[in-house]
Amino acid sequence: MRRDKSGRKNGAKRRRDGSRAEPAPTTLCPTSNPTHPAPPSTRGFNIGARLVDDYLARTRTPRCPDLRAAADAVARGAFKQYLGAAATVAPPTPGAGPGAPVRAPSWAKGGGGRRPGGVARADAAPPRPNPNPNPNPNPTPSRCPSSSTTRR
Amino acid sequence: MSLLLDDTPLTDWVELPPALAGLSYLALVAGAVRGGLDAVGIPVDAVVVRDALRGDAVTEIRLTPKGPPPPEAYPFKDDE
Repeated sequence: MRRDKSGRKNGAKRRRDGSRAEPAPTTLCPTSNPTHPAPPSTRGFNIGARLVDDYLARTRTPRCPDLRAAADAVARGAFKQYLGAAATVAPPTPGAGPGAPVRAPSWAKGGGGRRPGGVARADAAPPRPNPNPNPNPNPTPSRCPSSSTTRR
Repeated sequence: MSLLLDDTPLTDWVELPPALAGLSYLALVAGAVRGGLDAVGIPVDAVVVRDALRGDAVTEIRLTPKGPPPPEAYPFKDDE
């Protein structure tokens, strides 16, 4: 009995010591390696699926005929309602136009010089000028109305 | 289509530490857009192309349409 009990205790102690000796994980986020851009993540998917229920319940949005109208409803209706800031809809910027790979963000192409070293923000390069700031500041109102006509 | 955001709360009130310089914080918003449009039958890919949190001038979320989802196979799995 005693031998068994003490043996178990020793074993438990050893296990505890062993677990204590294990190194703690050093990386907080596996996607934080600047040289390997993260793939398009699935974060937020369920949030959006629930938010669209709430959005359709609060506003009476008709069916959007095309992606342009849907993006307009998202930008001017949903973003203003849930994010607190409205967005503007623009065609894709020509700098990374339709020929460019969509899944490679601009900072991942190695031209920035700031990412690979992981340097602080203070000595970072100034932000790149926007080649196409707002090509369509007054988008024509589409048949899919945003928040202007439908409010709660 | 691209959604251009001038300032968002996630940009104004968030500062990335240097150790997490590669973190795409706005991926949450892009994913929410993707999930919301997917739930109403508009499947898109939403990618954060430019991020003001990383020093770009504006935040740009690019939406590219995906094809319609493949039709569901006959023994529908409605119970799961």
